[in-house]
Amino acid sequence: MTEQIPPRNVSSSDGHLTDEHLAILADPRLGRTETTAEQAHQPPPFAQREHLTLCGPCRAAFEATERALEALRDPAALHDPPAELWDRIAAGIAAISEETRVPGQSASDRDRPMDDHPARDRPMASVTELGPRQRRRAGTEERPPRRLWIPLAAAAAGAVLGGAAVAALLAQNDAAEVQAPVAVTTVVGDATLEPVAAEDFTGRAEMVETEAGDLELTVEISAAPDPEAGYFEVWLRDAEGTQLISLGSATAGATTFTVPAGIDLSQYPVVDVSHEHFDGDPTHSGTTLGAGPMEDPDS
Amino acid sequence: MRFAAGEPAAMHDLYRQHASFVFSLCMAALRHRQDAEDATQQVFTRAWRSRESYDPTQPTGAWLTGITRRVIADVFARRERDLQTAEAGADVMARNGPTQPTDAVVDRVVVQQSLRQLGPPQDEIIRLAYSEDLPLRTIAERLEMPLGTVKSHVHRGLARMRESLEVHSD
Repeated sequence: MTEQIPPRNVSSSDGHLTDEHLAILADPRLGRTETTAEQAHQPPPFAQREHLTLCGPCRAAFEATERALEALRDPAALHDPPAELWDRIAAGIAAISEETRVPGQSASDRDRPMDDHPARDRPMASVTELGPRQRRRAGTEERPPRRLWIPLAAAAAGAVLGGAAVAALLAQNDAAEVQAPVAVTTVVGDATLEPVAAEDFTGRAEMVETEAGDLELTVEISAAPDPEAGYFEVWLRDAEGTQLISLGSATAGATTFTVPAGIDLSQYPVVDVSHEHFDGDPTHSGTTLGAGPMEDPDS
Repeated sequence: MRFAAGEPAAMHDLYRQHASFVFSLCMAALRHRQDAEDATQQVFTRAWRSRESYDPTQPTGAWLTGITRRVIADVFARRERDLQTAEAGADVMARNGPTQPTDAVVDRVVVQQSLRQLGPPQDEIIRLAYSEDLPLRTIAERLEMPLGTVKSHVHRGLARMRESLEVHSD
């Protein structure tokens, strides 16, 4: 960055003012010479002033030079943003990419719930469809409609295969499932983990509700850079990266975590895999390898 | 541009290259750290959203400056609204302290950024001559350089400042 740029014009052979002329016009101190011999080489300033009044580009260059001097008199401090700011941005970008890519697949399903949350700058709205945990805790009878997908799928298959065949198949696999289909492990959300800090990161995450009512998140890291002197850590967080819950460390391949009971998933809609060092610092390192918003599995 | 093609990794490159500039701009204009962080996030999110409108013949820095100006203007408009609502608290008042026109703020940050890129000894010469307002002769003595050398560094340095201002102006 320190290479010398060619001067505007070494000589004024094309008639325009040189860098030197512009500097001297803006700051007359530069024009004061020590010897009369040097003085002789200076073109008379009035010729340059006259040129300024006639030549638009040179006038613009002169004005910019004056602005530079003005701006230099009141130096602004340069600041580096906090390290975690990129994560917030990356999560926002991942959410936008998700938003623009997925509707092609099942636009009508996805668009409907979005209506409740008008598009905003950080469009994580679809994620809140995961539904707050407490709603489900409120009563065992009250089930979010999405959990009906097992019986609905069975019914749809039944239309083709015939009810008896389905019943036989299900009985073969798991008799309990026929009797109490809502009691089995149910997928409540999944996320595609888009690469953030590492280009070669791929992964996905799936959240299930177990028979016992616990939430489990399985993170599958299918490609990631070698953590070298460190490890992967899995987080649930908000889009901005201001609220985070650590679920624990992960390895390449699949790792399953128990999600703390009582968590409001709408507050922590993003799954984040970070690269941590063995530094004893329990906070997020600021390096997100991959992240993605949880989606309702129906979409 | 890779980021115009929708590659998040390319966006990260763009961020690495310009984050400090954009954040400094927001800090200088908004004078509030949290607001500046939020605004910086907005700038890059907007850049991502509008990446298809980016003209590849223009420098990315200038393009981001344009977006930053609009985000800053939005923050000022929001503060103005907050101020007009009944309970304009001290916090809002503090944030609305004397504000400089955004153009002047952009100039001040662009010039510092460009100074950082100049490298020695030009950056120091320019700083001594204009931020500290030292006589050129004093600078020449302090840096043990002929006066003529100091002057030509100033000529070139100012040309560089001028060019970056022209790039970021609109």
